[in-house]
Amino acid sequence: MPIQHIKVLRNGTDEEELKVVETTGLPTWDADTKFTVVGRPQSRLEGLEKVTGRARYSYDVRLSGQLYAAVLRSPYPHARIRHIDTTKAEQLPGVHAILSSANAPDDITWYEEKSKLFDKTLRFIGDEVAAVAAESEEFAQDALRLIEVAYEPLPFVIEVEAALQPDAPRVHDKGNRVDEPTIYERGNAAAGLREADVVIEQTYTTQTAVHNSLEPHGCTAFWEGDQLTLWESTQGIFETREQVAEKLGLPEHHVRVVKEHMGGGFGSKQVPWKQTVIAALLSKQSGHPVQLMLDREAENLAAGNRNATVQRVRLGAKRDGTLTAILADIQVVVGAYMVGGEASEVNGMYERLYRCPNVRTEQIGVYINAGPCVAFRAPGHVEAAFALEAAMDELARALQLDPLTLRNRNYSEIDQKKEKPLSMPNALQVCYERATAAFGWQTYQRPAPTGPKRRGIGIAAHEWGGSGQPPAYAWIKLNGDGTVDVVTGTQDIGTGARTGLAQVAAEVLGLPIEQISVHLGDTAKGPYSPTSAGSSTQASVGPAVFAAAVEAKRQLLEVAAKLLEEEPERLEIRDGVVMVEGEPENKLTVAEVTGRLAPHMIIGQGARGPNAKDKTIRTFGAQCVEVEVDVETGEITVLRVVAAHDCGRIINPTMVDSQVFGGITQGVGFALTEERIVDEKRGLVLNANLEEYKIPTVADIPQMTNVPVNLPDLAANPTGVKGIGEPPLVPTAPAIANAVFDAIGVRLRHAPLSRRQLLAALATQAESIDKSAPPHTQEGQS
Amino acid sequence: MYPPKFDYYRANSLSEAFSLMQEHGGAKVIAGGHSLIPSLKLRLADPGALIDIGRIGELKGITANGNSTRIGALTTHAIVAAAKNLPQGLTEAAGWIGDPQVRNRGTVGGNIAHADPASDLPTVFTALGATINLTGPGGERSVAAQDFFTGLFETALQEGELVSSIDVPTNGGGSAYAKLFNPASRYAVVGCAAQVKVENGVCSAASVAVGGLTSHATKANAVEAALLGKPLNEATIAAAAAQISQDLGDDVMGDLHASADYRRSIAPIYVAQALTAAASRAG
Amino acid sequence: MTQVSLTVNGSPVTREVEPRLLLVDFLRDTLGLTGTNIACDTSQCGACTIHMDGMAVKSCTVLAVQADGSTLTTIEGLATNGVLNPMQQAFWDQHGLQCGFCTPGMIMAATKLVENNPHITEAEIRHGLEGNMCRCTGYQNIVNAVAQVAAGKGG
Repeated sequence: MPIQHIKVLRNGTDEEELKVVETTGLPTWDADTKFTVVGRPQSRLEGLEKVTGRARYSYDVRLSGQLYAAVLRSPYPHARIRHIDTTKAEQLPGVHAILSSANAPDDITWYEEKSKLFDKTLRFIGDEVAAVAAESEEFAQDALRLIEVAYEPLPFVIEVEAALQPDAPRVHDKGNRVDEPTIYERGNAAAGLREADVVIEQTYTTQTAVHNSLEPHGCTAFWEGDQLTLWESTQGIFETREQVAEKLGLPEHHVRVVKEHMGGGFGSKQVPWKQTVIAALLSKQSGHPVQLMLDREAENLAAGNRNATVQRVRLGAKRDGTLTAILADIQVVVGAYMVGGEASEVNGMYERLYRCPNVRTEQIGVYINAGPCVAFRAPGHVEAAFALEAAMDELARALQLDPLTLRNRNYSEIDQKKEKPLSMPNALQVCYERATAAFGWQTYQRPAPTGPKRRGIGIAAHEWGGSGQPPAYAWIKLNGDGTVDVVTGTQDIGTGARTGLAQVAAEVLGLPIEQISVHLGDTAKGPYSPTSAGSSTQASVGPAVFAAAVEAKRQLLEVAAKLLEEEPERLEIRDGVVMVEGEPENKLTVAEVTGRLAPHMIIGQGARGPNAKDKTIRTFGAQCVEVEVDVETGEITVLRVVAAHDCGRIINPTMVDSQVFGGITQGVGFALTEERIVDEKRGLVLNANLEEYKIPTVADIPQMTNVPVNLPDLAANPTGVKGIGEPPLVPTAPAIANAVFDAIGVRLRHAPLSRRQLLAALATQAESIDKSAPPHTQEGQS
Repeated sequence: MYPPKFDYYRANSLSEAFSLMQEHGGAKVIAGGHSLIPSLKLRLADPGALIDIGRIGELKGITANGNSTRIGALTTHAIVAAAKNLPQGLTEAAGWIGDPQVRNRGTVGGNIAHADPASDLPTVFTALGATINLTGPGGERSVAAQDFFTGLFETALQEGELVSSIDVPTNGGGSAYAKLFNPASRYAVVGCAAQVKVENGVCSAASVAVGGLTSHATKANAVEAALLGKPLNEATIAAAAAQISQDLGDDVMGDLHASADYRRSIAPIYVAQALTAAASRAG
Repeated sequence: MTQVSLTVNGSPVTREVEPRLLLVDFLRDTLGLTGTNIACDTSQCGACTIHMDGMAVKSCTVLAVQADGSTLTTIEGLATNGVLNPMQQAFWDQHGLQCGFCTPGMIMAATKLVENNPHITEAEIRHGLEGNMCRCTGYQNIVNAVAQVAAGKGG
């Protein structure tokens, strides 16, 4: 198989890759392929390490002479440092290094150059003021208390509406708008509204939610001469290496980033934060390894969050439900800084999910004096779905259509933005069919109310990317004893990447998975792979492993053919045995072949090829939920969730289930309880912990059903795999909100759907409660 | 998070505890530590010295004595929750505190001495008419639970005194506890404990207390009065529960989880729930 | 400094510690047993759950000096002679883990849950694991893992 590197000049569009790899000639796993390893619920390769406590996370690293660092953070939402004195802290026994604006390099900038590593202007509570490295975490914390800082508090703004007033306190000199609005329009949205028989116009808001990975951000930094090693809790070892090298002025090969295991990564670990470079500098200054882990409070204040939004939505439709217009005016509350220049794309789902000729979206980012936002599992889509999918439900009610009927009536089989066909035009339909069938949507009979409890059902859909893309590289090494090392520079952020990649390699090579080891998470040991973000690891790196395995297999069969005195084309490998087609006696084990070759070895190199250019590759899904609402207390209980998500070919069904269940669970949290609460008068975050910030526990979560949707998408890559990491969170919250309406006839448009909000809404629409059976418009139901 | 520095002393008997307490003014007493250690880690307390009473045998165990059962101050919530000879309102409340691990360490004495307004046990002990036994260098004294909780994190405990045990009457009728959980911390946003007796088809005795609403567990006298002499059914219980607003007055607290108005508005629901369950257990 | 002597995973241990040292840091930093994790630090999440004198406790809310004389088991001590405890095996079999950070605490809590209630129901499993947070799995496969052990033991 020829592997050819082709350079393509970037012309400014996202359609062009700087470098692609010619992967024509690769076999593909199509619908007829028979599998022995792929598609089976293989238990995790790293499971043993995790159940025995041996799995090493960044903060488990223990090096000789290691120091522990802690960070002093701004107690003010907006302030200037007038004076900082670290003398007393320096004198504390056990303290080895202190960094602050007084001595840190002045030329390291952060947040699009809007802040220095230690800036004298602090723009949110939690902004870095100083850092200490000491012989224990206790000493480091004690030293922080001895640093004397004279702050000059500045006017601040927390509320998005206040931030947009002309006389608002300015978060940045240029004001509180991140940029000019991003506007998209196709057709004529205003005309579309005029054409409509029914118009829905509502404003929805979503809250600031915090990732709360169980393992906070952090790293251990260690210098050997001019060689820096970072054990970093990151979703992107290469991204971290590149950025740290740039900030510190080091060549990339002098920075090594290692991540063996990571305690959760939901977007906030896809970029390095200030503390990584701070740890490296403290290590340099002290001459010791330095470990800097955030505690839960710092994690919740200063390591990213899901941006709050305000979304004014207008939908227009004909009597029969045909959409004539979709309009959304979106404010995205980004916090004090943009991280990596990205605000979440809330507008995208409005532009893509439904067939509509007239669409207009306008999105602006707004700065406030609070911790910066960063991508959080399906960024933008979670926020957009909460509004769009509720608005669609409102439209269905207004038209007296079943919400599912309305969705199907406006089904889009094409990418309307790019006017290209979708690679799997019926994927969402399949999701609708499977989710509603397993849920019993059409036949649902609402139980009679018991006391104050009312039941209802809701549905919501989503679309997302997840196609994966180049570049990503992998090597396959066949050892003398027939075992296999898969080497790649990706990372397993907890999703089970090791296992999924091993299944691909085992399948191609015809070997039992026990003979495969996957080595990843080390920039010094494996070739480049992209950041694990956008639900793309299996879809980006899997095909590289696939290509490497195909190449290794080709070499193996060539050698085996010589030994068996056969043509390679007549050979196949099954369960570790190379055999000749139709001649069962004529065979050699893989270990016999590699053993004959040893110490020479077979190395297959593989690269991720480009996606199909003539099609748009997306993922889709739908969820149905049933809730019970207590109209006296305002409590909402999710009784069941049925999900169906298109993720292309399923490599490991249990791992897909796991992603779906985990996503739904975060969706329940987003829908019902999760919210960063800031005291607007003082700018204080009132719940920067897990004592007052409520993530779902096992008792909050019902039985969930994931209906498999196994639709190999060969436009994406030869394995047919697409991502599943992010999407399952997207439809859960709107489905719950729609179910709440179905139960009590009251629409809640502000996430999270708090008890207070529900009771207040009930009080203002008291007449709705009196109806023993709220309107549930199901076509065909007598 | 780390506590500030402190000296640590372990008392193996009550007398040792008292002399240590006298020696180290300002020292804090630690038992299970599930109220104190979080406060230390948040640096809300910096006592300089801790006196560990966690191993004093005299303060442990549950003993029945006629119509009353004595719970040693060091008894954990898990043990109370599993106890057979205690009113059901108490055992179910103990079983809803925190989570299993917290219940394995947290002690009854520590809980009530801390007197968190959102804590469950003060409410239950107040409703059950329990007696809090205190011990100090000068000897023992007893305080009725309803007089023990005096304010926000404030009790009748005096300098140098410890909670030694709680006497819980076991002949007070059917009892129950109902609670709206703080979704994250699992403390009570609203908690209600009720105990009722039914004779000849009507309520002959009623004792009701609520927590989470005001600065400390509060006896609901108006609710109780509305129950006496009435048959206990949905209507009478609802009518009595509505009286809780009279008992609460204007002192209801609000926080980020629940405003004062919200708490006030849902309080009758939990009063009614507790009363309904207690009535069903009154035989 | 105060001297503590205790038994950890079957071995006697004596160390001088600062009284303020938390038990979880004693395990992680003094003894190098890093399988026990810290995630919330405020006794919500249960990642630091260990067995102390036969009971599941949150070691972030216990002082090392309070554990003097105690017998502790951490995740590292749960397997015997290289054979996984059935709960460890079940979490592995059932995909009761993703990132694995909550897993040691979850397993330590779950072993006690089933030990104390061999015929445990699903509702009881859910109530009994309320003190352990997981941000990845959605808990379903964790509940399945605990149920697998209960079925093997009690069924």
